Amino acid sequence: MSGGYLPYHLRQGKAIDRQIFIEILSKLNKSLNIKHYTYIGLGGPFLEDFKLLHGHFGLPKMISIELDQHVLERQKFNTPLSCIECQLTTTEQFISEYSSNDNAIFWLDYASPRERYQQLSELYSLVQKLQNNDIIKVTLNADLSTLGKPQKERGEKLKNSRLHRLRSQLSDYLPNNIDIDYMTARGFPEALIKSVERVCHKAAEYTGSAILPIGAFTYKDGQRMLTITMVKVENEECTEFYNQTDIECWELSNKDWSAPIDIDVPSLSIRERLWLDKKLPTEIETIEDELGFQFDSDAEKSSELINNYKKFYRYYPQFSRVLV
Amino acid sequence: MSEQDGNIDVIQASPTKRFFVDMLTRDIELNDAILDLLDNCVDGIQRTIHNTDKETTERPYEGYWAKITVSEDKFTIEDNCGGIPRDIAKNYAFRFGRPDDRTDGEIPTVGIYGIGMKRAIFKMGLSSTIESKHDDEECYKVNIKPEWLKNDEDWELRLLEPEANQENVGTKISISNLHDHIREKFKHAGEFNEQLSELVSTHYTYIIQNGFNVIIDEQIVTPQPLDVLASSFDDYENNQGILPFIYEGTKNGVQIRIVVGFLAQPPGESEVAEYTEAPRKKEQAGWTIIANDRVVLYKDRTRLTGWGTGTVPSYHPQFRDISGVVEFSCNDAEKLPINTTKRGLEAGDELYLYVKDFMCEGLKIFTQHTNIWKGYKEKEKEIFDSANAASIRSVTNNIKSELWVNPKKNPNEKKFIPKLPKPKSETVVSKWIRFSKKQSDIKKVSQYLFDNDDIEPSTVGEKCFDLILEDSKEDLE
Repeated sequence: MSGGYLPYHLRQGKAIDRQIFIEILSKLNKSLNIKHYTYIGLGGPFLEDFKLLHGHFGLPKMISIELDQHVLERQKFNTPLSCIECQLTTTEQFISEYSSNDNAIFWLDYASPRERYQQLSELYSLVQKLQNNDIIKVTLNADLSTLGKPQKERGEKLKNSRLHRLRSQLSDYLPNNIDIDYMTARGFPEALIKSVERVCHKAAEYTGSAILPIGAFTYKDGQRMLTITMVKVENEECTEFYNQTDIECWELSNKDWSAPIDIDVPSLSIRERLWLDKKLPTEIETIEDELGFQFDSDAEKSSELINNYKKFYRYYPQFSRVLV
Repeated sequence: MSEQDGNIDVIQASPTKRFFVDMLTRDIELNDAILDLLDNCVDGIQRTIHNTDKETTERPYEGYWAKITVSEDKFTIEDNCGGIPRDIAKNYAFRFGRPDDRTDGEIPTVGIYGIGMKRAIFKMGLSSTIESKHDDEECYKVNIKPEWLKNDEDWELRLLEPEANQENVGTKISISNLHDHIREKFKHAGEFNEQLSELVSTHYTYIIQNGFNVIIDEQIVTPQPLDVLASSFDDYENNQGILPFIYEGTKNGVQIRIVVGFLAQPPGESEVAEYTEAPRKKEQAGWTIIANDRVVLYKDRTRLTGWGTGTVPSYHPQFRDISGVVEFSCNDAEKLPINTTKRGLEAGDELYLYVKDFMCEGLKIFTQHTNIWKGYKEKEKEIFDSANAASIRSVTNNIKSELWVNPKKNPNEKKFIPKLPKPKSETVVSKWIRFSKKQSDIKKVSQYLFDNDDIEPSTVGEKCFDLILEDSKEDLE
């Protein structure tokens, strides 16, 4: 699956994840000087993340990696800022040629479930090359169906065959203790996080630095995606880093490579949203009674959605029709 | 109750010489044992020139030599490299095992006195004579005889006066009473000498370049240079040239240099296929690792040097023109990532593992290049035409200072990551398709497509793909 032609800018989960990324960077900004960082990402035809990052931090240098010539041309057409350099290359090539004395924010926004090994290998190379205090965000396809669909097999048998498939995909990047219990919709992203942890640990092992996780989320606009944001920090500074950056007391942080937080929010009309926002952040408990309807036919699921909205309402995007 | 009581059973736990001899020689190849002897010569020079003006000249080993002669019943190595001091001979050099942590302190040697000598001697034969003269000391001689080797009671040797006083300040080792398998090898002295010369020419390349003469069967060994292709800086800046990846740094007191790049234009597809089917014995690709000027690993293409680990592909003939060199130098041999058998790399050494990350980083750039240019061999040739062989040690001078990057904000390290030219194409992604079919079937298809049954199999396969691609376009559009 290539992401080059999808309308990324209209996807709710991704939009929230992107806003959270901005929040993470703002927190890191307390100790790192983000405005001098170079941003390197896979901007797609609309370069949404580039606009957002520049808007918040005024980054002076941004590089978009694109492997499709046509998307590249379209990107150039859409370029919102002159400081974005669009390069026709693959992430693999870019990483192996990457040579810089400046700090950088990398967003490896992978989509394809078929190239997980390659993707983690690229992450491995990148981690080895990064400077201390560089920031990396990785997005991986974490949709369980990509490991096989429940057609011929079910139950335990399906789990086993999915695990087998994952093991052959990730090979030595998959930790040995990942068993069939992880082969669930929620467990699979966690297995991937543990694999990312392993890759980062192996890659940084002899560099004198470590990769610290900051936040990890999943969302499902179409297929379930996993995103993890990390920082490379010198070994001696690791213990202090979370304190210095406010990550320590952030309720959405992930400091131990544990299961990601799922961004699963209801689709809301403007009227619903305004009504909910008026009750937030304190009166959430009474909302369900007053609302008079559910966001899902399953009552439990509906409460969960409302709770999730409470968690993420600050990042919730509003899409509406505009006449141009 | 004391031992003198005589009424207890005494258990023999004293060592046998045979045990030491076996331990010393079991894991070493004959060639490596001989290189160990040359190492001792070079260490001898290092000690001799230490703190003299000569140490800092360009050719510090000038005037020093070692002569190796083999025949069916005798091996001799003679040198003028300083000799073994009498007190060292008495207390260390002939001892089984290492009496203490005696090292050379400030001198960049690789050996610890004597291990190499004993090992080489016992590897080859049962009798030996070592004559040596150090400085203005008296010359002396030590004889090791088969009877002595068999006797586990007598652990002493004698320093004897030689019949004639030795002219050179140096050492002469003669080994006779050769083991059968050694005699068998030396029987074909011509072949053996040729092999050994080649080994010395690669493993001692820097030392020979710095003036040391190794003479094998009266022939002076010429050094095999360690080169890498480099274009002029102008060509490189104009995206028309190639330069190697370079890392230079100091870690834990050890100076490190890594250079990796191309030796020639990488092979085309048919050459790769030919190579895959009939691999050549002598390959130029791979990593050479050098510790204090001595090669400890030559042209390695295994996981040991990063091939097939992390993101680097395993070695394949497609990469047969990629070659890299890692140099470690340090006055304290203990800090070098070499194992106690001296001729090997200590693959688990922390320093080596640290360096290996950079080796892989560099290697990857060039394996990738061979992938990207697969379909554009003619164009690629233009880039390589203007590139020339440059010595590993001087190629650094080609790089403008502003192009170095500092990998970890550490002032003791810098690296140069070359940006290699890319073919101009719509999309830079291509993948190999490789498959094997019955030769008779390939001939049939070749006949069908080209009216000739002898077309290159890869061309036949490609044509099949192109035809189907055309069909699929019509169908899918």
